[in-house]
Amino acid sequence: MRARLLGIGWVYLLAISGLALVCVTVFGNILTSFADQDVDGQYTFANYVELLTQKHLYSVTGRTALLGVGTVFWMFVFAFPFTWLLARTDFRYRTGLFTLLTAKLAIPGFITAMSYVWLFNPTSGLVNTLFGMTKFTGGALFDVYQVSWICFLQGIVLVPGGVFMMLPAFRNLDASLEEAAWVSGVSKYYTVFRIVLPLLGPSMVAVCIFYFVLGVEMFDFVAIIGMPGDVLVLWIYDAIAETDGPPNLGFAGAAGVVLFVICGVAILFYARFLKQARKYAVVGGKVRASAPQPLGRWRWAAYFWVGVWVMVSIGIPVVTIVWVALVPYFQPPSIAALDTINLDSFRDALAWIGEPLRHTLILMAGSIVVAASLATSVTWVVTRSRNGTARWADNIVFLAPAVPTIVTGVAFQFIGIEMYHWIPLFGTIWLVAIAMGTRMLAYCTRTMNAASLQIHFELDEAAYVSGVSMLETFRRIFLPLMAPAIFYSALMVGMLAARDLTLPLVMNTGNSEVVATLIFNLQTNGEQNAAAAVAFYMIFVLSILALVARRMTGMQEIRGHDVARRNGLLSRLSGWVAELARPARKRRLEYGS
Amino acid sequence: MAVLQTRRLEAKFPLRDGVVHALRGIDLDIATGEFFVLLGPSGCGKTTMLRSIAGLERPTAGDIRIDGHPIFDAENGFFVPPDQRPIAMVFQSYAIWPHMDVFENIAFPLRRGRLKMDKDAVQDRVSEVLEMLGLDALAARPVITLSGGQQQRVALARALALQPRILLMDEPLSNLDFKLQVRLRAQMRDLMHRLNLTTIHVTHNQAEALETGDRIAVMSEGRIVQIGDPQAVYHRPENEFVARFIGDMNIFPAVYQGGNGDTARVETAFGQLDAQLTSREGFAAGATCMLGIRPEDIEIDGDIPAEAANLVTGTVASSSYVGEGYVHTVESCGQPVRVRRHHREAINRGDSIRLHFPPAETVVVAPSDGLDMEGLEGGLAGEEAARAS
Repeated sequence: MRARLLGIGWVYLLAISGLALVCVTVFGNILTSFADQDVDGQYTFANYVELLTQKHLYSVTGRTALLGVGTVFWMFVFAFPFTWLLARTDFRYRTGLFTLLTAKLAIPGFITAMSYVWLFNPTSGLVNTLFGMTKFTGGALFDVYQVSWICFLQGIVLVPGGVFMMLPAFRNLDASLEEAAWVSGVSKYYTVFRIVLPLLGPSMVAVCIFYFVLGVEMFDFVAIIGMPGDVLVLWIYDAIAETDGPPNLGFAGAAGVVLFVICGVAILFYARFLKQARKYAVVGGKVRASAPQPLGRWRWAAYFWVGVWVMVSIGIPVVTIVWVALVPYFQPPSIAALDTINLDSFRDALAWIGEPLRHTLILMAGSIVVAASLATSVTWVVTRSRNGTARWADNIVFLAPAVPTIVTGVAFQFIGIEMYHWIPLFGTIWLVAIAMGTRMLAYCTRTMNAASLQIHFELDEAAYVSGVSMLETFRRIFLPLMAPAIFYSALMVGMLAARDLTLPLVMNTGNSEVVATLIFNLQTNGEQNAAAAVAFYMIFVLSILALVARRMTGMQEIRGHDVARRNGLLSRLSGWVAELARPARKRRLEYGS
Repeated sequence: MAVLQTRRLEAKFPLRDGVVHALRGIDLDIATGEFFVLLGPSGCGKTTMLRSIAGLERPTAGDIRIDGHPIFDAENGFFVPPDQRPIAMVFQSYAIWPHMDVFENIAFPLRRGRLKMDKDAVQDRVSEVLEMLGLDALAARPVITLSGGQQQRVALARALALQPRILLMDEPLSNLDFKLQVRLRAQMRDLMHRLNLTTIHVTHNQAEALETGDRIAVMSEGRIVQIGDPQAVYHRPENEFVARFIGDMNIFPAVYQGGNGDTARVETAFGQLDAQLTSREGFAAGATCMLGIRPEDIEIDGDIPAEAANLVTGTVASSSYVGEGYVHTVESCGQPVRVRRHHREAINRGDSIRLHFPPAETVVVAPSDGLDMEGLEGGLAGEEAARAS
């Protein structure tokens, strides 16, 4: 009975809660930055004074920006040719490359980071030891503790996201634009430079800016490698994880605001380029993809470059982890070491994993419920309500990625403490789940918006003019048609929540250890073999999830009435990584004609 | 008794740069059982009109009544939401719910909508419409496996099952191939007449409008520029816009000289001609007006009765074969005149020829300077495209 009273108001209520949570991350962070460290409930400028008088503020801010740029560079160096291969060439192993890119999602960044530290740290890195060249023997062969290494590693793990984000732009480029140049007597080579690249330009720049933001806010690598690469994210973490004394949330907040401003400005530029990219989109009509161009001898270069990426981003980490998990203590490969191989670490890991696994499952379930239910409602309001709130909601969600994950963590910690009297969630895994769900909300909404825009509006209107109420239409028409997108989003949220290190680490008060933080802590405490074994389990389970997601979307591409029929997996994955999936024009479901 | 009444209906949509004035004071009265057509080029406001009746758009001024009960009144902000209006609608895209089968598509609104019918009643009602539209064999089929024509019938069945007071149809045939369109036009009109169902049909296709409509309202730029039965709209256009939009008509500038209210004498480049005065407003002597005649109404040498007035002489500039006959362009006093003949014989280029504009088929209308003549091209182009596909 009550459902009828509020009617479609329920959906608005959920959507507004979602937006409110996003706002909490922003205002919570700003509030935190003014919180007095010593007197509870007092507000002060002291944190900013402390921040601005830091000796290295400028060099750290500069290095942070450099980190973003370097990350984008390495991402682009791989992602651009890969996208080109997938979208425009007759590259033989396109499906294989696609599967590898998906599989990479199953290897969390911090595990990649960990494996590289094991290989290349200057004191005991396996490679350095193998060649007998460490810091102790007069100079290491490799030293992973460099900003350039962080850039490189962050870059290579972001490649799949970059490819999935660029692909729609490549695919939506109308072949007739090129053909018009060819039949006008322009050579194919010159056409690429004068027609294709300029048209793709704005979307490429937009993707790069977005990855700058990710590069700047990413914590996985900085957490494990970053001690010499002093950057803002690390300042925030150090302030929270003070070794002597209570966490300095205020200082973390102030540094968070600086990081937020950097990311916010970048996101504004991103929005501008995205708008530019949309101007180039062919209005209406169906886009015909260009015929695949033969690679010819260039295919060897393609195999080589794909091979390099697969080796550095998948091969090296996985092999390293398996090796370290198999040997009883940390040592480079040798004939002697081969004799000591055993499965003890895998067995021991099971003893460690119980409680963290339980927390991880709660975290996954909680963030799925929060993100999926709120995002579905936000999507309905943004794409289907034709209401003044829609624009607002859209803008808030659009800006949400500007709030760095670590800042989200700080904000929720602060709010959790402030609200503890009323809602005692602080210190529990539940608060982490809510923060995680909020963090995922923006990505989820993107995916769902793209799916929703492909469901013809007349399907809703047909229900309204047939006498069906809005709430009933939401339940019986909108939800069933969105089900594949919602299910897919839930799967991705689950996967990303399980592999995320940042929020559980920042929000960990001792009672909420998850598998990711377990691995991090084992590694920090020098128990590499156990860390490797747990990491192996994690990659194994995540791979299954990733492959299920891949299969599921593959299946839907075949089924006729899929909501995201045209780009299937692509549009959704890209929606994940962010916004290019926001279609430049409303693709519509057309059947029959 | 009018089923539907609208008064002074206005609709404005804000755009980033200005306002679109989609409806500019529409007054309509539609009688029970009438098959009413809203015809016009794209952007003329016909779909906005239909969606306003459905409750999918909210007009900015005026009021709408169904059976005398207000369903919208801008003055006191009264608005009945679409699901509470006694209507049903067929969409251009058909809007068949792809996750339900044929039966469920029809049953869902009956069960969950305004009517809240019980299970047995739903079963009966659905079977009834399925049978009526020859869909009984398809009841359990998933709708995505249906052809365009079948989907269109499911959409119609869903609407008819609701037994609405008014059935709204938004270009329901435009996604079908041309031959099927032509076949369905007559079927659709007959069905609605048999059910005595009041129907409002929106289309940009004039052939469809002329063939199905009991009455046609021609719209341009948010106004109804002529309303009447198909014969009146075709043969007695009231203004230049309708004359140009419906069918093919030669239009020449003219100067009004005099007349008796029904007929007029005008001065043209060809000299003095007599014609029917179809324009609603009269003209003062010396006023600018437009003379129109359809190419198929012009008679040529041999057919022209003796002692006929309204004669024009010219030379044949070109002849095109168009299948059912020839279209000749005759150059006369510097004006091209199109003449359509259903005879097989061509006429040589350069031949001198006499033309007769029968006064009963020649019309004098007011020039429509203010109206969107470019939009009209769009309408015709749309028609061409529909034929081509």
